Amino acid sequence: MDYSEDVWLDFIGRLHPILVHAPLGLLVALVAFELWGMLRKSAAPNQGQRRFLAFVLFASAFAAAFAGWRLEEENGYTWEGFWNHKYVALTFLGLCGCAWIAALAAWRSAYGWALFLALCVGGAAGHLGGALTHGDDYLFEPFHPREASQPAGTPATSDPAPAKDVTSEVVAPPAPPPTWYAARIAPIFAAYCVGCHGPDKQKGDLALHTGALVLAGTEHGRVVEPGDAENSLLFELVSLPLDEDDHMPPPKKPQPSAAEVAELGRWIAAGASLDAPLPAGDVAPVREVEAPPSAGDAPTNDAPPAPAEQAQAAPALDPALLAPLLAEQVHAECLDPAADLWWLDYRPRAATDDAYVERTLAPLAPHVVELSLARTQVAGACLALVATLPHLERLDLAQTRCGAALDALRDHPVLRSLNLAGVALDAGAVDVLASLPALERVYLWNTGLGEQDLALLKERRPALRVDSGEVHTAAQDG
Amino acid sequence: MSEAHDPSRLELTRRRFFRACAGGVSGALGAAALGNLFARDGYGMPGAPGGGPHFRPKAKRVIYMHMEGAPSQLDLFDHKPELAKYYDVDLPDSIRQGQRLTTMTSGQQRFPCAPSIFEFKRYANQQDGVMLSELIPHTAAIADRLCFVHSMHTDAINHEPAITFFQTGTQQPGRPSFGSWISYGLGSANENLPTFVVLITQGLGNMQALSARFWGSGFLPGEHQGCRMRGSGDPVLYLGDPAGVSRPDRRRMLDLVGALNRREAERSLDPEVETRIAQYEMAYRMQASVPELTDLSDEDEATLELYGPDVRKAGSFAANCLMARRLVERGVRFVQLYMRGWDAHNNLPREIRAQCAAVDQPQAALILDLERRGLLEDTLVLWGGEFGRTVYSQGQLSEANYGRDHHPRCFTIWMAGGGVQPGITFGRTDDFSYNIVEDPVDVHDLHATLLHLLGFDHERLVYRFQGRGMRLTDVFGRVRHELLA
Repeated sequence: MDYSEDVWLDFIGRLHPILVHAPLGLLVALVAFELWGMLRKSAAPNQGQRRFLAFVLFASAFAAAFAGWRLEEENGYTWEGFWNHKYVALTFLGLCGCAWIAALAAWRSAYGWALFLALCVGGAAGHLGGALTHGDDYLFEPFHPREASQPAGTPATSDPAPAKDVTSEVVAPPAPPPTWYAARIAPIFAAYCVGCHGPDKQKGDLALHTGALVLAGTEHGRVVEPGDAENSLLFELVSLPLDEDDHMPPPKKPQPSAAEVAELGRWIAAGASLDAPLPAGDVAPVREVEAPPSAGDAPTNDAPPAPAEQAQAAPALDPALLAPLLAEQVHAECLDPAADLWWLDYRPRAATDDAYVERTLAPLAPHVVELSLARTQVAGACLALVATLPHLERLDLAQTRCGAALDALRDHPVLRSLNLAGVALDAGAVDVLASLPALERVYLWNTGLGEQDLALLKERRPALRVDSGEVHTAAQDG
Repeated sequence: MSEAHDPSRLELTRRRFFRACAGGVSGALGAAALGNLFARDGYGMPGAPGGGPHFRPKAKRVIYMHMEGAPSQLDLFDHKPELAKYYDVDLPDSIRQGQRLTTMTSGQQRFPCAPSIFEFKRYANQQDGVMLSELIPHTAAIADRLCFVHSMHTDAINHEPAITFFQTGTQQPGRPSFGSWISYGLGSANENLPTFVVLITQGLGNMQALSARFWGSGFLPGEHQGCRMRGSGDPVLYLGDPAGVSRPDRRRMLDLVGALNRREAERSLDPEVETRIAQYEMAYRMQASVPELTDLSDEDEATLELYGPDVRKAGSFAANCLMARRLVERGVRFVQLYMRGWDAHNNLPREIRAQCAAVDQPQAALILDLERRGLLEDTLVLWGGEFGRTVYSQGQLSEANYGRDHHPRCFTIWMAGGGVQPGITFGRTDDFSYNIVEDPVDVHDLHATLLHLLGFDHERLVYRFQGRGMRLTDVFGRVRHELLA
């Protein structure tokens, strides 16, 4: 059979893990020879043997390095751990070269030093290579207490006693009510998934160690369809029979219990919210593992900063803050690059509720000039936050259930245009609208406001353009 | 010969480099090139390859109703009472000024003036009213929202180049469509639907060919081309999964095909492969979004009535107007409606009556519906043909019948919403509606003005291709501030 050049080059790359042992073994032998020679005061290997063996050392190190390079070409490693291994290994190759040159030149002490350094550096290169295949902490893992392999996000375990004191007595923040996700769902991912889909490895480009990443899915699409467990790839693969090829986790790995799988399905079907509280009084916690409330989100720092901090600072908008929104189909658009003012449009994400808006809007508050919440699930709770947006000029609440909460917007200083089409309003809304000093235009089609209410509004704000959806048409004359 | 000195290899490398720049492949080379053009305080718009608006826009989306075949300005908008005196009188040479003729009338012995047989009435607008034809009562009734430009002119005299000019800014085919430029400049506002959608209504009068290249993306990456949705049957063909193929199955198939395509893209650096990948993914997302889009069960009776009786007839202009509203409501940036059948060379009165009956109520309803939902404020609506029609009759002129040939020197379009000055007329033509006497507006000016409303400096919305920066307005165009609110 004919194989292309590439196939053979890839094959050579795969020999790397075998070839690396040759220079290391030879090196140990050479050092041992030299030590033996020093102790016995005899010239253990003679000059010719030393030259030959030093050449073999260099040649084997070179072969290992070449194979490593082929492996890199094939796999395209990019992470930092790889670069460490590569450069330490190249240093090792250089030291082997030095040893060979020293042997040729018969510089005994330089030869000895080169061998000694090569031994140290070679050991390090070997360790870093091992870390690549077995994980960063491979070498020292046996020393860690068992707890270290708990779900990501548990407090650091290096010094348990004082840590305990601090958390229990000094800081002791009032524990927020645990969310469904943090209490039940994140522990499942942590126990069964994060090993391969987590901070260290992202097999299939999927990571599940934070809530945002769970919802974001992969670059090919979401694995969780909020509200639709049946069509959620993640749930489907977990639910497949164990003997199916695509079953997750892989058959030889620990498997979640049926109750845990069911819990996952319930959570997705209920909207896969990261903020939803624990459903009251149903099944007991599915896992014994005690997870702190923010277990899922703790290890990375991508959780949005506290709203208060952000609102005060108002620095340039960090595009990284938008990434989780964009990943969930919320549209963000910079309308005014000079003033760094943005339009946030939640409409494409139909499952948007108040909690989601509050969580995602808060960090962006100083930059929002237009906000569209039309046709989402918001019911008004988020208007308290919306009312604090300092630059908000246009607000679209059409076809939402925000009517009863409209009072939160009272006296907003810069709001120019307010869309309430299809929002059920009561007569109190007139007073709120009249209180908005900058309001130029309001849409009140299908709000249930009567003619009297509209007349009152026009009386109180004559310049306000009120669009009640009445099909008024231009007069004609012959 | 060493690799470095093999000229064929150098050529390949150079070509690949430019193709990579043109296609924006894998972010690296193309993004670097674009990054320089659109660098703005360190970041561009997420999701908008062209970088997003340059300044605060008045409009975020466009509905462009193109009246393909060119409606007669003389019978709809451009009232010429003096013309009655010239019935069956040859067009004076002082008016025609040697204007070239199409081959359809160049053989005629006479060029008899044909005043419109339709009555005009004055409708209130924000000025002292506007005279409009009895053919479009619904549209006339909302004249206070509309901005009529009586002084449009174009360079082309035949449909293909004239539509191409309106759609792409040049008469030669091959440049990106207006909608593609908007898609490129603003990016998507809803990843589940195409950014640029085309809906076509078959005409009731004489129809001309409608080429798919009118909504092509030219040298812009293929994902910016218009997506045509069909009027009847499935709006998008083959969107449903065959029986037995589940959504996860489809997902896995696409992942595998995508992986193979990405390898091909890396090997060939061909931007068309990226386009194909993007289209597969868009189709997958549309499998979920389109059924919701086309399900009209959430529209109330009153709304359907507003659009008129045709609204339930798939593919009608009324149905497409309603669909346009639903599309922009869901974040589609550019909806291109084509109404065919305006090319009334003969039997104009009969044909234009039917055409107007089909479009008048729906287009007015669209404006009203957008308005009450708060969408007209930032949706730009544009209505017009590719040129106008002649004052002289093509074929036999009688009291009740006449035809009109193509006329590029003046015609009327109207606009609404999105920062356009409502309730005005702009520009004036002579008593024969043959020459412009005041405020001519050419196609480049129109494009520049529309881009301005969308937040773009038309001189800075640039894509580098074949060694130079390309613009929708090429090297022309000026923003007509008189038309802006």
